[in-house]
Formats: sequence, C-alpha cells, structure tokens
Amino acid sequence: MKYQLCSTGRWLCWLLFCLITPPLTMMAQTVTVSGRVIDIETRNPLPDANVYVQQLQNGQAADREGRFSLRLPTGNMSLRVSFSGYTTQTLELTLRRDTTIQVLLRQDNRLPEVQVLASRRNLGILSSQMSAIELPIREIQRLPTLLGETDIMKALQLLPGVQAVSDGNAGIYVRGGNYDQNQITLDGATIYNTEHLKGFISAIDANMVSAVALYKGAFPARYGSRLSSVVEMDIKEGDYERYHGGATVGLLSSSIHAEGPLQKGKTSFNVAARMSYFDLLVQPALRKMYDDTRALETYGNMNYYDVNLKLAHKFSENNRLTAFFYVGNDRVDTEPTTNTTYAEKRDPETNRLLYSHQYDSEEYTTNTWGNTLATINWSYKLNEKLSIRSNAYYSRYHYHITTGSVRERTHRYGMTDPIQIGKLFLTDNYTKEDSYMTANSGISELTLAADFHYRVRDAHNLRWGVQATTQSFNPTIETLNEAYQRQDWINPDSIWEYSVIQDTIGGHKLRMNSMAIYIEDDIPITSRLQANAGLRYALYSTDGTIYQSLEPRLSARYSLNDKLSLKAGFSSMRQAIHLLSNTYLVSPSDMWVPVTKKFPLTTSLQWSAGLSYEPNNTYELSLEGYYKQINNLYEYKEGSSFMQSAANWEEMIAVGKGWSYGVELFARKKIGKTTGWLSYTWSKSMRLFDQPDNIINAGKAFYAANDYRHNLSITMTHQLTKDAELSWIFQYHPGQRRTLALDYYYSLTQYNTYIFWDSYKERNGFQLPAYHRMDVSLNFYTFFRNGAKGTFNISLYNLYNHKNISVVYAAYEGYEPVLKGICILPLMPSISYTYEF
Amino acid sequence: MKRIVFSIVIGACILMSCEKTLTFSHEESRNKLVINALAQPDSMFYLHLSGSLFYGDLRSDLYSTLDFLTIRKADVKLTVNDKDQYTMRYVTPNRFSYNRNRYETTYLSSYIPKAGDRLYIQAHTDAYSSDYEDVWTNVTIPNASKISIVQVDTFTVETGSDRYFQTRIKLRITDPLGQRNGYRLRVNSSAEHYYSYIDESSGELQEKWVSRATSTFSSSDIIFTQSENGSQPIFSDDLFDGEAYEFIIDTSIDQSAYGDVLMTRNPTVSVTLQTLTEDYYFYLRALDIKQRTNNTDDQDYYQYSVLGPTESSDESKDIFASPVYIPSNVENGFGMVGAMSSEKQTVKF
Repeated sequence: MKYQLCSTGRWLCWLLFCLITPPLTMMAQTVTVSGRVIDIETRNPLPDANVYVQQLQNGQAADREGRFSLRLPTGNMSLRVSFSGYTTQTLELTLRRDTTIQVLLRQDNRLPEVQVLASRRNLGILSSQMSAIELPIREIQRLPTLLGETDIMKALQLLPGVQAVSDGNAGIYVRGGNYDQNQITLDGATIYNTEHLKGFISAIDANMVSAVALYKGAFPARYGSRLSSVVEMDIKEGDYERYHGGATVGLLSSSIHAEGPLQKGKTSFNVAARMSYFDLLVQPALRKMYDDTRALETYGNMNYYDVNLKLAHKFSENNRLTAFFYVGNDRVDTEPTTNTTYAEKRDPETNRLLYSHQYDSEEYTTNTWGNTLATINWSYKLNEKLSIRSNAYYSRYHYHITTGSVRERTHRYGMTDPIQIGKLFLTDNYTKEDSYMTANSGISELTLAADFHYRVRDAHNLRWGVQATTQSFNPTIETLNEAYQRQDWINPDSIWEYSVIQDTIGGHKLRMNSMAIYIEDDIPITSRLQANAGLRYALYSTDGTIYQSLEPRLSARYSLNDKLSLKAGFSSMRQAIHLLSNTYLVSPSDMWVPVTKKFPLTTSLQWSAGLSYEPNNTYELSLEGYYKQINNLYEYKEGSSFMQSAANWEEMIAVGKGWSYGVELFARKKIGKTTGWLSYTWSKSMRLFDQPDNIINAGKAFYAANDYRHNLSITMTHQLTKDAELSWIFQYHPGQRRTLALDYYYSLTQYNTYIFWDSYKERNGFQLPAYHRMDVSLNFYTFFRNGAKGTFNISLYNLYNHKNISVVYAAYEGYEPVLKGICILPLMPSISYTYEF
Repeated sequence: MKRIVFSIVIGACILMSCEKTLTFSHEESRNKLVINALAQPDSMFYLHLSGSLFYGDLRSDLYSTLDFLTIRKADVKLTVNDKDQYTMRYVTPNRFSYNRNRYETTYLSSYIPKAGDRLYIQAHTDAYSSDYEDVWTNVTIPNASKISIVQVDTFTVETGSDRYFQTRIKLRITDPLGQRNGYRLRVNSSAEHYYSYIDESSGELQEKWVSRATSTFSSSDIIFTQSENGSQPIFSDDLFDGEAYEFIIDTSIDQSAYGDVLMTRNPTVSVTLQTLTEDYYFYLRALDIKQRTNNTDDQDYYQYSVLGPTESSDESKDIFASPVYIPSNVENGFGMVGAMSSEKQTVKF
C-alpha cells in the first residue's frame, strides 16, 4: 500500500523541518570561548569583570579568578569586557573553533571622562540573584568621609534596606534585622566586630579591599549562619611586577600601605597599617562643644590600631595560594567623672532648713576590644568546567570592660528631740554604695571549607561544598556591690556595711561545633527565565544538644525584554550564635553566646520580589519589596540585671519573634561627569514577646529599636576638572527609637497602697527628632612624572551642622528639669593628604 | 602643622553648640487622668482618680505638695452591662485611714460588683488648669475558678530550739477553657498556742493563750517560678489551660516565740485563689519586677528631687536593669482598672 502525504501533511512536515533544523544547526555550529580578564600591569585577575556579547545581548560575569566561559555561535562576535576603574575593551572575534583568550585591561588612574561604575549586570538585570549589590571600592573612596577616613561600612549604609546603628556608627541593620545578624567576611574569614572608636570608623582598611558585595536576601545556598545579610570583602593581592605604596595623614589617624613582588610574577605581598590619635585632636575639640561633658563619658580616651597583610603565590595560572592576616585593637579609658547634686527645702517664713539631700557620684570605665584573623585560601582550576576553592581560617574577637562607681547620699532631715519635747533637730542619714562590674566576652572560631564550581555548557552553573566550624565562647560578668550606712542620731561615728552582693555570671567556656553542606544550581530554564535553586543542610552541636536545619533557597529572573526583568526570591536561614546587647546599660556588656539546650536556633524566612530596569548603560533602576519573619529572637527580660545575685545569663533572656517588611527603591546613574544614586526605603519592623515567662511589654507587639519608617540617601560625584572632583551625600531618616519614661503618676500596688513613680507608654515608644545631614568633599589630584599620585581631600561632615541627637540626658534649666539631646557628630571638617606611588 | 589643624577645627566648631533641649508636642507632654481601681464581687467598688505629671513639670520641692495631683472635681460615670448607670461621687478621704498615702482621691457609688459584670468607666473634668482629656476603660469581672483541697497533712517540726506547726496541703485548681487567666494565691495560717513563760518583771511563771498567724508559704511547684512575690505569688494558666491542676504548698507557724507551747488550739489554714483579669495579671507581674529593680516596696517612692527619667533619686535603684513596662488599660490616660474574684477554702484541724 502506498502512502501519499496530503497537502496538510506536507505543510506539517515542512513546519517540523523548520523548527528542528535551526537548533540542530546551531548545536552543530557553536564554539566555546573561554578566557581570563587580568590587569595588564599587575597581572592580577579582575574578579567579576563583565563579558558582554553585543550580538546576543547577553553576557556573563567572570569568576573570582577572572575566568569566564561562553558558548557562542560561530561567526563574527563582539565581546565587550569591562571592569570598574579600567578602560573597557571591545574584542572583535571571528569564531570557527573553541577559543581561549586573555583580556588585558589597563587601570585608568586619571579621571576618565566617563565614569563606569561596576555594572550590576552580574547581580542585576541578567542575573537570577536579587537583593544584592556590588559596590566598587573606587566609588567608596570618592565619597565624603568622616575625618578623612574612607569607610566601607558607612558606604553600605547609603544603600536601600541598610541603616546605621546610630549616628557615625559603622554597625548596620539590614531589613529590620538585628546588629548581630550580619556576616562580614574578609577573604572568606568572618570578622565579628567591624568597629573602631566605638563605631566612628570601621575596622576594615579600605586600602586593602578590592571588591565589596552585599547580599540582603535571596541568599544562595553557599551562605548560611546569619539571618539578615552577608557582606563579602575581597582583599587585594599585591602587585606581582612592581612595588607600590602610599601614606595618608588625616585628623583622626594615619596609615601606610605597601605592596609588591616577593618573587616577580609568582609571589606578592600587600601590607597596610593604621593608627589613630583621636584623643589628641578630636576629643578636646568635642569637649568644648558640650554643656555637659558627661555625654562624652562613653568615649573616654580612645585610640586604635590595625595591621593587614596579604601574601599570594601563583603555582600556575590555574593554581593559586593566598594568606591573609589581620590584627586590630581598640582601647577606651575614661577619666573618673564626678557629679554632685543638691536639693533642699526651707521654711518659707523662717528660712529654717527643713530637709536637704546631697548626692555625689564618681564613675570610671576601661574598655578594650579587638579582632585577630588568619586565613588561607587555595584555588585550583582543574579544567574549563571545574574549579575548586578551599579555605581555612581562624578568627578571634575579644571584648573587655570594667566599670565602677562610688555613690554617696546624705539625707538631712528633722527629728523630734527625745528629751526636749516639741523640739526638732536635724540629723544626717548617710549611705554609700561602691560597685563595679567587669565583663569579658570573646569568641574564637576555626573553620575549614571547600567549594566546588562546575559549569555545564550554558545549561548549569553548579556549586556545592562543605564547611566545618568549631567555636568557643567565654561570656563572663563579675559584679560586686557593697553598701554602707551611717545614721548620726544613732551613732555618728559608726558606718556599717549592710549589703554585699557579689556574683559571677558565666565564667566557663562554651563550645559549639557545626557543619554544613550545600548545593546550588543556576539554570537557564527558558530564554527569558533563569532560576537559582539551592539547599543547605547544617548541623550544630553544643551543650550536649544537636540542632539540625534544612534551608531551601530559590531565586528567579524573568526577562520581559532586554531592559526590564522581574525577580523573586525566597530563603530560609538559621543562626546559632547571638550577641546579647542591653542598650539600656550605661556601660554596654555585649556577650556572644551560642544556642543551648534552652535556646534553639533563630530562624528566618524571607520573601522578596521586584523588578530591575536598565534602559541603557547609563541608568539603572530597581524596585524591591520584602517580607521577613524571624523566630526565636533573644532579648533581655524586663528588669533583668547583672546585679542580681545568682543570675545565670540564660535566666535573663526572653525569647520571642519579629517581622519586618518594606519597599526599596534604587536609582543610579553610572556614566558621565556626574554619577551617583538615590536610595529610598519604606519599612516597618516589629517584635513580639508574649510567651509564658518571656513577656516583654505586657505581651503586646512593639516597635523594634531599629524601626525606621523612611530612609533616604542621595549621593553624587561630579567631575569638576580632570584633576578635581566634588562629592556630596544627603541622608534622612526618622530619629532613633528609645524607651524613655516621661510620665509620673500614682499606681495602685498589690498591697492596696499607692506608689508614685515613672512609666513609659510602650517599649521603644519614644522617638528622637528626625535625623538628616549633608556631607561634602573635594578631592584634588596631582599626578607626578614618576607615576605617583597625590590626593588632597577636604571633607565637611554634617555641612549645615544639624543637631542629630544620639544621647539624651537629664539636666536643669533654672529650676526646670529638661531633657537635653546631644549630637555626637556636629559639623566636622577634615583634611587629609594621600601620597601613592 | 598639628597646631594649625587643631586651631582650624576649634575655630570652625567653637561657636557651634552640639546640644539642644528636646521639645515635646502637646500630646506627648500633656498631663493625663489616672484611674486606679480594683473590682471584686460583693465589695464596695471605688476608684482613685488623680493626674499624671510630665517630666518637664517636675519640681524639686514638689513632693511635699503632691496634693495638687488629686482630682476632686470630676464627673465619673459607671455603666454596668451596657444598661445600669451609676454616678460615682467624690468622698473625702479618711485622715485616719491606714493608707499612708494622703493623696488618695476616692470616688464611690452604690454599685456592688458581681462576677460576670461588664463595667465601663468614663471620667471627665474641666475644673483644672491642666486641661485633662476624657479617659475611659472597660473591664469584665471574672468568675472565680474553683480551688479545692485534695489532701492535708500536719506535723510539728523541731529544729534546735525552734518548733514549727507545719501543714502540707495538696490543692487542685480547675481552670476554665478558652480564656487566658491569671491567678494570685493567698495563704493564711493561724493557731492559738498556750505558752508558759517567766515574767521578767515579777519573775513568776505565767501561762496564757497567744494567737499566731502567718501569710507566708512555700512551694517548689513550677507555676510559682514565674512570680517574684513570695507572699502573694501570681501565675498564669499557660501550663494547665482548661484543665485541673494539682500542686502542694507548705505553711508553718513558729511556736517558739515565747517559750514552751503547752497546747495548740484552733489551727486553721485558709487558702484563697484570686482569679484575675489578664490586664491585671500583667500589671501585678510588672509591679513585682519594677519594685525589685527599684529596691522599694509599697512606700512613697519619691521624696526628694528627681533627676529625671534617665536617672533616679533613689540611688539604690539598679541602673543596670532593663526597663519595666507598667501596663495600663485606661484609654487616653494612665492607670489600671483591674478585677478579680476569689474562692476560698478553709481547713480547720
């Protein structure tokens, strides 16, 4: 029987042929273009350099080693390779077979006519990653500074979803999370405290950093152990070919920096050191501005130093070993401060003294803290598809504070004379209280990790790995309180001790071991849809208890066109260590503690969605919304105090939950003589502690201390001439939240009597006045014939001297009690000079 | 160079003060009416009306004249179960009252509370310069939860020269389902002891009956770990919501105060379980904690000049303690209008 195709059938066959043939043709006519992007002078790789294929309107970011691999059709292709601060190169290739290329980019030390900021394409419109941003170090260095100090953490505070802990402080809150929920790493090693000088500047020397990336949500599976953010900072390798160096002199501190080859082309070093003289210049100036110098008590006589050293060795182009060392220490000593108050009441007719009250106090504080880091990284590329990166590091943070006070009270009052009936005599009741508290808090960590990266053509971008960590904690608080009394009408010569409370909280080491394995895959599902799916499993062993967690992660990007994409993300996170911080203490006694049998892992779930829009290479815009839920949050219970005898720290903690949500807008201009960005966040952050024995605020929801409804930051950099540029910043957000008792009234006691005392409306219910300030800086560059560069910087922090209140204290104006607010950072001019060769 | 730089910094900043006095809005700083009351079935219902004082209005000579906080001229209306209305009238305080607080301001009505009554109280005054705004509150008097005595043991304990008449009682609470309840337990133990002792003045042997009583008790039960008040502990029903719960208490009376106890008669232990409204439970709990951190009990607290909300005039206050929130259920004002019902069991031996 013969079969003949009808006309319909012929059409179908032809259609089928047209659909199948092109893909088959393409599959047979594609080649792999791989290569490496490096600095032409230093031969250092340029991590995350952009490789963009203009014909395909698509591209890729190079990896940490500057490597890339693309599957492209044969024929003529234009590859545009760019990296912030470097001259962009466009390569015209005629592809017939697999090709390996090396792209050499030249650093442009002069101010170019166009400023190319690090494109967010690797974390932006083309990527499945959302809620993340990479900040070019060069851009950070051009921002206005506080007292001439480039500060990476303060630059991050200008991004949407990120807030400063307080004015001038380097600590950050991210999307309503607490201060301890941010993991900050230097070359993969966690640094636990990023603050020098109580937060005036960060502990991270920007001269040593090559790249900064912030993740706020949709965390890939390779990240864990913190709920709110990951800040990754890569430390620069030294120049393999030539020696460089520099020195900076500023009002706050000075620094030196040097780098160069130990063995040309093979081994390099990069070293930097900083030291401050804050107490010699800045503090005397600040003291002259405050009516009450008690406001500066917390800051005492402060100074710091830190040293960074990186060594790098190349076994081959595919095999590299680096080591990084960091040590930094701070010290604060307050001189003893004294305070005297006196009040009396007299008979209005005879002016006879009826009673009087005098109060004298003396207080002192010594405070030291610091970080030590040592990390070794080995990266090895087996072939075009598979690379390994392994890491071992040790990190130690120590914190010590001793605070003491002596308080004396003399109450003079009238008593009836037992002998002369009807006659009153004045007598004194004297009490003295001598107390001190010393707190030690430290955390030591040793971690081994291995990360594998496997690229399967353009289909899969697979990563998997394992991490093992051992941590030890030693939170200890020792308190002593001795009280004495003398009653003159009994015996004017006798003082007796009527109360002694001595206690130690903690005092023994706590240890925690943990392990995590993860796998994630970045998959182009269709030409428009790309997703990153991952899973992380973690195990924690401490205090005879084991906790486990399974943390799914998912993020996806859908391209509406080549300029606009929609994104969504979900991440489940766990955290096993916490910083217990009582913001109400005059002397903070922050303690790092692990989970225990009583206190389980803190968990969070975060959903986010948004869009990214890049109409051209000049502008970009993103709009994101998020909702975050946190369980097993820890706070100090109401009334908890280290002066209670026999109080274990676990008995002082309440467990509750929190939630935060918000919308973030980010608009940036990347190219041109004027560049900058606008960042606006609307957010809300709440807490609830309503479970039995964990009640705070009567079990009602209350605002988190880091709740700011609006947060606006605008930055701008303008190139005035080829040797001068102007930068400015404007920031606005509502004032910080505090718990302040401002109302006094009678309360009915449980004994059916009345007590007159203070009260506050709700926890964190009082809001300080709104915060806003403008900073301006000018950079003048001088280029010398020998290739050296001098930079003269003038900065004005808080240009119009707005009094941003950070500290509140009680005072009197005449006979009227008032509350006074102190701004820690008024108008602060600074100058600095940097010489680099 | 350093001196020049220093001079520039000082010159630029020396005229610029870095402090300012905080100002407050009218809503933040206005003084408010304060209502304190406790409604109990079959007891007269009275409330105390006073005014609050904003921090900025404090004065060092204030505390001998706190009388100005009393509110004597106010319209106070009580509505019971959305229908019965009462006008509460100001009653002059009894100067010989046991209550040492001479600033109490009592408003009284003919209303006698019953368990289950829903009370709505509204207070208004325009007779004072502080321009107080109206305040109001709602409270429902709870039904008393059942308490029963399951088992009683008594014995005398001698430790050295001390001798105690001791009682161990197992109690059962039956908690109603579907509502969050707070409780307070009061235990009163009493007995009459016949003592013989040597009269110091005459040197002769005397004998007489003496009554002894105590309101303290002890218990290792977990429900009492929540409370800071040992003599009148409060606890919630979180551990036994809707169920019957048993626990043991020990109470004892010291028999060795005067000398040899020849006889004991009428030993009695009465146990009172007070069922509290949720608001009132949280309020009592906060009071216990705040009094611990302030190192004070029920005495008038402030006698001298006050340094402000960030410091205290009572220097024994624990400055390291986290602040304690005192709940209020008075809308637009301050204070606590609580309610409780009691159930009492007595054991006579």
